[in-house]
Amino acid sequence: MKMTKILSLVLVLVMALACFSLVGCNEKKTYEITMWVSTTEGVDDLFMEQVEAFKAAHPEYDFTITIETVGEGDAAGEVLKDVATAPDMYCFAQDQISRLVQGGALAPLGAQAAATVTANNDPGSVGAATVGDNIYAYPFTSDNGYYLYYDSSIVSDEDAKTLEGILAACEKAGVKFGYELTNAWIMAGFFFAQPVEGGEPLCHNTWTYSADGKTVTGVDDNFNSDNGLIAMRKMYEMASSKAWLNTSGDFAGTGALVTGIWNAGAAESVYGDNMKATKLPTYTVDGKTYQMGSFSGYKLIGCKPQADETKAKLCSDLALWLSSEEAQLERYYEFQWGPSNKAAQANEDVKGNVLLSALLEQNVYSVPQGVIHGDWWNEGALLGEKCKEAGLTEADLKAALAEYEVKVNAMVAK
Amino acid sequence: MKKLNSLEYLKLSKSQALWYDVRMFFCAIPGWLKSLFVGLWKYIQNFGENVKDEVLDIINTFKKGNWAVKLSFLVFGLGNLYYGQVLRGILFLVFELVFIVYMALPSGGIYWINKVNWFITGQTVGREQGGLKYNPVTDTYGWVEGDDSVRVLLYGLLSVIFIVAFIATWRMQVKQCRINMDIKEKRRKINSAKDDLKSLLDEQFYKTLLTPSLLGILVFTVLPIIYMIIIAFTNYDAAHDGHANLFSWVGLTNFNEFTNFGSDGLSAALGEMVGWTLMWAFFATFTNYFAGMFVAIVINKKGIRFKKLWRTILVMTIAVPQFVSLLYVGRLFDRQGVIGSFLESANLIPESMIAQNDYSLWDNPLTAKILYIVINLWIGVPYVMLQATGILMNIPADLYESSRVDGANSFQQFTKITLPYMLFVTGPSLLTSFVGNLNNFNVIYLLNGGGPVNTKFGTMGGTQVGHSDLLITFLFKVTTGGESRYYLASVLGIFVFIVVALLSLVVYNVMPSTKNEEDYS
Repeated sequence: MKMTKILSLVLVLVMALACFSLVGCNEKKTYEITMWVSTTEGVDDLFMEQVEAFKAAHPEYDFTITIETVGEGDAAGEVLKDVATAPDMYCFAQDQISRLVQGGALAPLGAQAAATVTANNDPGSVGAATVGDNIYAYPFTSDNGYYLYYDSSIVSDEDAKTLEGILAACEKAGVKFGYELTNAWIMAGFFFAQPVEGGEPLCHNTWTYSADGKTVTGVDDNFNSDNGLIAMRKMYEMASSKAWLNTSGDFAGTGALVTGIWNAGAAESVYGDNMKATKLPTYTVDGKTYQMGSFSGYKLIGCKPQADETKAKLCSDLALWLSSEEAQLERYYEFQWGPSNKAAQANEDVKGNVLLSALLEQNVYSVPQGVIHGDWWNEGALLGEKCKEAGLTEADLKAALAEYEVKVNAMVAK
Repeated sequence: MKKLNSLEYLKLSKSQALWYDVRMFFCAIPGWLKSLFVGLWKYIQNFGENVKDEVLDIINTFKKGNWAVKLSFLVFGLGNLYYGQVLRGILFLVFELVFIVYMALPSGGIYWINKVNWFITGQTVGREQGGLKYNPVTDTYGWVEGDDSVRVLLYGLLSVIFIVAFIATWRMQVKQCRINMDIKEKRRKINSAKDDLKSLLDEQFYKTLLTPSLLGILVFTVLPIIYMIIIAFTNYDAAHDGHANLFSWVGLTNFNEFTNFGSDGLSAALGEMVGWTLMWAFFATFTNYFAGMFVAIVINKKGIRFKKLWRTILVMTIAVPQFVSLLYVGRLFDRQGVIGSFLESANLIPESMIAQNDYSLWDNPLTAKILYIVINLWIGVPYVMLQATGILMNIPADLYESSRVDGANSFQQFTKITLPYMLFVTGPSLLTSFVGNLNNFNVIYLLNGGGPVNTKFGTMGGTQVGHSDLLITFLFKVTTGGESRYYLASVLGIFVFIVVALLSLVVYNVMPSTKNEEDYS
């Protein structure tokens, strides 16, 4: 009797389990997607609204999404800690793309998606998303560049045109001019300068990658040259000025500062109504005048490679939606993020924005930031560090450039 | 150097005696090192002897044993079962079965161990490379899972540890057979399961208590350390992260960087770093110690009012999280920070610094180093003060009274009573704080990231070398820098371990607390 009781209990349990598992099979699969977006206040809410709109427009997908905030500059570091547990989608600044591709953390775009991205976004941003033979990410802003902010009560519009003018005006007023030389991204503006009468930039720094995007196969860099020395000399001259301050974000006590659109709020709070923005100044060495260049940068949405193909398709469609013209314009209106979408760039409101027009003005002289080896940023920053020292001769500057060349060439895989 | 006898020593003047002590200290260091290595050598020798004894014991057990004992060399626990120890026997048997099943499973021990390609230079850790695969139907790229070197190595290592545990258990049960045989020979009673359990709560209670902590140490300390050491023999970095690109064994290549003795090689940079690390640990520890003690004594003095208020004010710095206060205080001294800009506008920056374009205290290597030590003082004094307050109250008051009767002034009281007592009690904690300061990441990194940058060395391991980088902050920068060189970090970690271990041993040997253990008891 007892035996039968136990047996029946076991059978009932087995039946129940079987029923549950059958129900589980019949149910349509709900995907769970996690996404990282900028830490700027309110960005996660806007992304959430846009995802809800996507859900409404695409009833064929059944998914839930969790949006978390991680700075776009830190995304690669966080994702690569463990790709397996990293979020399915994330926003990142383009300088990290080579590390992410190398780490297998980005799925290349399918043919259709790639065609859409190429057709709708400006060429610089598409280039930024391309590694080797494939496009790996969806551009959604084209404003990651830097330009000059100045306080027009201290630095006149005329002064702001030349580096010498800015430094003189700041020295006279006893304020500082902020230019972060120890940040290779901003420092490179000196090396990418071009003669005002037109022509090629002084220097270039281009990396080539293998077709799968995983290894650096070569670098074409002429920083260590007579042209590079022109830039280096000017950097050293600026660093020797009492007015120079090594910052790209602290506006207090400055009369002018070189940074990007993300610091617009800080600039306005210090400079107030006197805040103006324009392209970077020119500088003069040995009687020749050069217009300073810059890196133009982009922000991208990346999707992690998925084992499940439906989920991969879902992520791809969602990323396309989030980087569409409407989504980019919404972000422009809410956060003044400059769009990478060509149609959005043509929008009247975007065109009329003072800061974005300063950026566009500078973009003429900018070098689209390609894919750069992760070690280069520290190596380039070292040139700026060198310029902070005192009593350097031209030979010292040359030696620093020669050392730089050796280290940069060593980064290429043998 | 000639050692003086006590009579000669007493003849020396005060300064001579001090000089003699200092010299004796440094002369003794080689001796300590020697005794350390002699000890190690003896240990190795003993180890050989022990192994021999063990093997002989095993052979004897097999020779003398009956069929059950002989068979238990293959089947765990048979010896115990034969002698009536059912519980032990079953536990041994279960362990063996679990081991065999785990090893033989399709994705079990042997599978993982086989995948690791242990230390074969040029071979990858893991065998199948994962990768992207295009699906034309959905027009997407999917990920085909391959091996993950990080996991392969971890599971392989765990399996090896399991094998070691298996061998140890085998030895243990063979030994128990022998013990049981001995007991039987002497016609005494063999412990039953009940006796065993009872004894675990009684005379062997320490085993019960120590087991969890021992397991914890094994899992959370020993295993990660072995794992990290193994990483030093691979090329694990951002380009070979184990997931998208398997990493491989590279033999001793990573250690070659240390033999690069050029003026701008890694070894030269490390040399400077070790120098500053030691200097920092010394100053950070002793400035805090003496300043903290001084503050405690002053507050403790009779006649000082509002004692609790002063203590509370000082302890406030502990209440604010260090991360916040260090970041904030570090920025105060920036060129555009409150103090930094005041120094500049009030022309308080020395001409010699301005001549070098150093407009803030953080820009100059020397002033930066001093600033680190001074700010560390502000962080560390409250801790020492609390500690010292407790100890000061513990010094018997009659010592002071009788010394006063004998005519000692307060300085003499301090050097002859307070300081020796303090040193004796706080010796071990001084050692730990010294070692802690060798690895004091927070203060150095959060205040100014180990800056200013040392342009003489430029970049090492893809990251900039700072003038005031400790080994530990440099290690952090190497790990988190552009190419995340985990292998180099591991090599550096081994290096840090050697430095810290040697220093700790030396310092531990000279502490009064260990030398004259009975003095104050």
